[in-house]
Amino acid sequence: MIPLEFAITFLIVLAGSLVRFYLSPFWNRLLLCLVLFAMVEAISQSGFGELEVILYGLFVLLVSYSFSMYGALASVILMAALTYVKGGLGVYPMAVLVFAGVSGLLFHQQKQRKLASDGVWLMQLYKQSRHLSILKEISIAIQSTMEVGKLLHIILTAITAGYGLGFNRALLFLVDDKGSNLQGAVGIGSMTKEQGISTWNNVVSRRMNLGDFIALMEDAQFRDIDLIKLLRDIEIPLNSGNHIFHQALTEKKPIIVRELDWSDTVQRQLAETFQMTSFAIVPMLNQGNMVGVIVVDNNVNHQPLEMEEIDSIVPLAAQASVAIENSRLYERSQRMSITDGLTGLYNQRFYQDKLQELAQQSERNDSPLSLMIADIDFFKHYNDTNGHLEGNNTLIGVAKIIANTVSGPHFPCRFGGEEFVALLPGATQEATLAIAEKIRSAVEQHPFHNREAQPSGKLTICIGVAFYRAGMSVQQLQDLADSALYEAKRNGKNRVIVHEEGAIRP
Amino acid sequence: MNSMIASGCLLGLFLIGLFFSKAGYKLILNLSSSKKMLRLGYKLEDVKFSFDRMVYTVSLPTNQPDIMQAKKEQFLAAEEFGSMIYPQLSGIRVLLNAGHGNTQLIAYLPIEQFRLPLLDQLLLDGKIKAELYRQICACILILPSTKNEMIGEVYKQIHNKRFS
Repeated sequence: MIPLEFAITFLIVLAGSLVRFYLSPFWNRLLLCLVLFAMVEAISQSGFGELEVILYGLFVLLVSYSFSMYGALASVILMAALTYVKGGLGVYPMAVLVFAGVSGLLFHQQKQRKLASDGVWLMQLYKQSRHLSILKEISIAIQSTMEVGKLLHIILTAITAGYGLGFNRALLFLVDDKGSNLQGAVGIGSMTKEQGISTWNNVVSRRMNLGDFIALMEDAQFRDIDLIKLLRDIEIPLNSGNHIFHQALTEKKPIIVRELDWSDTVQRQLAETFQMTSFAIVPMLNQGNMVGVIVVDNNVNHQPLEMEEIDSIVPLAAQASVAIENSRLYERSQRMSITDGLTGLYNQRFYQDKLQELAQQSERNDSPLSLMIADIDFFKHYNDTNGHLEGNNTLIGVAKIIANTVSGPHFPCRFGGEEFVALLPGATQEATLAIAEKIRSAVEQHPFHNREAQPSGKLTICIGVAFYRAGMSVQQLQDLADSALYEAKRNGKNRVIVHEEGAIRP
Repeated sequence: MNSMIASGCLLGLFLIGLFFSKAGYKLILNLSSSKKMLRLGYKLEDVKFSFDRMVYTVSLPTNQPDIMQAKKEQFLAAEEFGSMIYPQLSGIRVLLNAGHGNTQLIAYLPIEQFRLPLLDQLLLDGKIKAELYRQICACILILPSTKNEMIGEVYKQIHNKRFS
């Protein structure tokens, strides 16, 4: 038959071993020590002699391990008092208790030290590993595009996404072409904490990581319209005053603003426009040249900004700066490859490709397509009279008139010499004729330099017009427009002639 | 004699309690977290999460044949606890069982980095405290379904061909 006190203690040990996990760490430790105390007391009632001291020592060991110095002192005093009450405190029991107390204390300290050091280096390694993987994802993603918009999206996504560096909001300002102003470009982030958490919830539901997110090309668009609208209205002169952006770019290092300086125009503007209270600025530099700045803040969770975290943006900003510069160069060279250097209109290469493409489109959709070929009358005479430099100015002037008249979905091109062409997809015959007539009239009335010296007393232009019909080749279309142009020349110049259904009409 | 046996049983029960601390912790964590979430008006299953903050100890995409050719069943999610007597979940490690008792660490997710939008909202609204946040996170992390999903995620990332 098991004694009652054992049965009760049995239940206490059983319940205590489980209930302690319901409690906070402190009460968990305390309950386990109390359970052990109850057990030790129950066992010691049976009179185990010297074993009792060992059990007391076990209790002291656990309490010292659980509660450090205070636990060691309290438990040694308690158990010494109990031993004294029960039969006198000798050297041996006291030595056991002190030994257990010191051992428990040492175990506790060693455990704490290990936890602390493990925690620190593990977290450091974790952070570095995460930053490296973000940087790797970004490097690969950046190489996948030459579009500035997509690049900016990738960079800001990496900075703001939870699966990236996890800042709540990032704004990007780029130095304009003249290098005199910082212009608000794009931003990602929410204006309120509710928006922020809702966005995060959506992203988490989709179970995507940074790489997956970037890989989704169709998602690569900025959604925070309100934020971007506010941002694009901001233009900050670089050379006026000593503001925080200027400081970050000249010192070439990130700056954390923890308390706003209202005398700084930029800080005031950021605070008033975006309700920023604390933020960081990371300069974007490429070979020492200013490219822009990135501004980050935590407006949703209000996590304090630490330089360690901000430092992780620096390599991203450096990569982004190079990529943006490359992308701008690429866009510029692409633009140059289809632009006529003198007039700024599309060049012949573009014209030929576009004509082919539009003819196919017209054939497929049964939609109208018109072609105009224009030629300046007596241009050789104009050149001979006024010189080639003035001739070039006249070409630029005519090109401007054509470009201003042929707009929207239409394509004005320079064909070569004093010849221009215009492709007008979707324009009706009436609309095409109206445009052609407007160009002719505008050229005739334009005060070109020394136009009085021309044979007709003014500078004029002839325009031949043709319309695409199903089954027609592009060469046929060009020939029709060309013959209409020659017809205009033969009929006294300064006129528009249309080649329509095999007939030519003025 | 009876007292001797009873004392032995008592001591044995206490030691078993200590030895199975982790099991007790997990059991109570689950019961307690479910109850607290229900009190807040949510079920544990309602909580959305992702493993976006998991770090990989291997380069992704990897071409290491041992990892690439490993079957999904060879991956296991191991819980990491700070202490044996007072267990607190500190993270989950995803290991690859390479056979012959050899395991290779593939990925790691510390509990501090397992952030959940719903809990963040409750924390910001002052409806829960940081301690409960951590407790619910730990509970979700040790659910077998979560660990399976974590293994699935690691397997997916290893076989992701987006850069190839």
